[in-house]
Parts: sequence; C-alpha cells; structure tokens
Amino acid sequence: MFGKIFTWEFLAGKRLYMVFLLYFLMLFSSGLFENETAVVETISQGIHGIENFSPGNLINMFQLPSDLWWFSFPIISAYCVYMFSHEYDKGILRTYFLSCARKSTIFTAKLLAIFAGIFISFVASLLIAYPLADPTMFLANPLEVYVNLPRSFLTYASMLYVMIGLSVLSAAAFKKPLYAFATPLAIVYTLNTTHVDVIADYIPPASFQNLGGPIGLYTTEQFLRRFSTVWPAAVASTIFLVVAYIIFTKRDIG
Amino acid sequence: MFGGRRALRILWFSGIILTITGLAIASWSLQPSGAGTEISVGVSNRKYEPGETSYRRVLTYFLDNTTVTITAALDPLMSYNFSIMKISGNWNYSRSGAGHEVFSFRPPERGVYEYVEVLHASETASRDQSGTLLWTVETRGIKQTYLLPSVIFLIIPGLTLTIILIITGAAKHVW
Repeated sequence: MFGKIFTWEFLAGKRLYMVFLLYFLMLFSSGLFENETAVVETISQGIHGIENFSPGNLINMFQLPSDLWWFSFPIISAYCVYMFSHEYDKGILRTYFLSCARKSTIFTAKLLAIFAGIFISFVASLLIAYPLADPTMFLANPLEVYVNLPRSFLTYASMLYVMIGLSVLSAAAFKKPLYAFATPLAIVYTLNTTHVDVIADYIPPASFQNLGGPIGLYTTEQFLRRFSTVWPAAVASTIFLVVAYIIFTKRDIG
Repeated sequence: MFGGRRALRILWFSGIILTITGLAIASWSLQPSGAGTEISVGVSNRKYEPGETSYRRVLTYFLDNTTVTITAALDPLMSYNFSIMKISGNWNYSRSGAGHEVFSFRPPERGVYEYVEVLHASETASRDQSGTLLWTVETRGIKQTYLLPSVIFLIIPGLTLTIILIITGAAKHVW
C-alpha cells in the first residue's frame, strides 16, 4: 500500500511538472565554469609538500548556494502545498487511502515523494553538468570528474532539507493554499532582507552564503567548518517537520 | 496504474525531458563566459643557493580559448624546465632555457592540465641566484560550445516527439 500511495503522490496530476521546472532551473544555473589552479606538489629546500587535490577537483561550477535558494524556494514551497494542503487533500482519493492506510503512512509517503522529486532533479542536473566541463577526462575516467559531487550534494541536500521543513509546516497548518504558499516566502525573504543581527546568520539563505563560491577546491576540513554554520537551520527544519506531522495526523480531513 | 496509456506517458515525458535538458544547456551560451585575463607569479622571487633545485607540480583548469604567456625572469646562471600536458588527453608542450625569456602556448581545448616547473641554480655560481616565472593567462569559454549539440541532439528530437503527440491528439490523454 505504501508503494501505491508513494507512486500516486509522486506521479499524479501536474506535480511532475514542478520537478521538471526545478530540474530545468538547476541545470540552467550550472553552466558557469571557472578556471582554477592548485599546487599539488612542491620540492624546495629539501621540503616535500603534497596537497590532496585530484584533477576532478579543479572542475568548478560557479554556483552560489544563495542564488540556488532564491529561485528554488518558491517552487519547493508550491510543491509542498500541492502535497500537504488541506484543500487539495480532502478529495475522494484521500478518503480512499485513509480507509486502507494510516495517516502516518500517508505523511511519510508524501514527504518521501517530495524528497525524491527534488533530489532526483538536482542529482540529474549535476550528473549532466560535471562531465560537460571536460569531456576528454570524462571519457577516460568518469570517477575523477564526479569527485566533486558528494560535497555539492551534501551542501544542496542540506539546503533543500531546510526549505522543506518550513514549507511542509506551512502547507499542513494553513487551510488556504495561497496562505500556505505565501507565508514561508514572506518569512524567509523578510528576515533575509531586514538583516536582523544574530538571527539573520541562522536564517537561510544567509546561513548558506558562507558556502558561497566554487565548491571544488575545498578540502574536507574547510568544507565541514563552513558546513557547521548550517546546523541551526537544519535543527529548526526538523522541529518544523515534527510539528507538521502532529498537525497532519491530528487534523480532520473534513 | 497507468493502464494502456503507460507507453504514451513515457513517450510524452521523454519528449519533455529531452527538450528542457536541451533548452537548459543551450541557455549556457547566453551566460557570461566567467573568466578573463589573469596574471600570476609562478614561483616566489627568493634566493637560490648554488646547486639548488626547486620543483612544483600544479593542476589547472582552462576554458575553451586559452593563451598562456610565461616570462622567465631569472639570473643568467639559473635554468628552467617547463612542461605541461592535458590530463587524459594527447597534448603536451615542454620548454627549457635559462636567463630572461618569453614563450607562449595555446592549450587546444577546455579541460584539466598538469604542469611541472623546475628551477635550477647552477653549481658554478659564486653567489645566491634569484628568479621567477611570471604567468599571464587569458582563458575564455566559447559561448557557442554547447549550443549546436544541444539543439541537434536534444531540442529537435524532444520537440518533434512532443509535437507529434500533440498533433495526433495523444497528448491530451497523458497531459
């Protein structure tokens, strides 16, 4: 039953077109490649130094996480509203699903469908963009080209997770789809443009500006240090998801 | 779940995916190329004792259209060896000399290159030697690189598929 609900949530209606829109924008924003240089080995005055850079690290897409945030947040918010909105959800199919599955199962299926829709589009766009930067090297050794991918993936996965929390909570809490869509946008964009000290550092996309610039040449230590600024937002998002789950399982379907 | 319309649905979404992939990649040609001239000092201008050798291996990423000019500004008793190769490619260039020289080369395509610089101060020198390799790199992406392939292999087949399904009326069953 879970599979059936998941398939329906993922493929039914016009939801898939929102995934396509996200995929287009991700691929659209991945086209700017920067030239880059890294010293990998030096021998001078008897001192031998080696840096841990592979050739694939040099291929840098100049994709600012904050830019990605600005265009994908409205789409993800709309996607969550389609999934969780009270108005869109009280149809006959929801009643049918509820007759044979628990609310928690439906909530999990919906959430997984959102994750799948977002991450498939975004992994697909990265898998296409990286080899185009150096087709010769890609033909010789694809693994070398994709060496950047895990770090990029973690960065954007965390960002999308933070977006999902607020959007799902809003979609579950508000009855009217318009309010559910507009509220998270108003909150995030207002907080980011007003630059409230202290808070603004932890509100995305301000917290993601620390991750800005090409990702390829970061060592793992640098990456983790920058990444640590994102944790407060990720914790907040988890709390939002838990609250959304409680609202979703307690409410009447009307 | 889709009944007899499953094949139609797959065709319809294949057409759409091909088209939007093509459009996204073709749009890269409208974006700024993202790189220009840059000047960098290759090796720090320090003193080398007689007989001393300095070695540097560097990875670098160049875009489509690149010209590199290197100025060797070395004391007369210092020599250099320089070689650059395309990683996984079949292009390389090497040069050696001494003293003051200028040379330039053009890497053939975009990609990752590896170069090695070796500076050596002659054993016969009576005092410490100094010198450096100065780099001038001009690298730009050719904006049209992805335009033609994405139109031919993605946009045209994708649009053809989509339009055929719309004209035959099959699209309204899967839209």
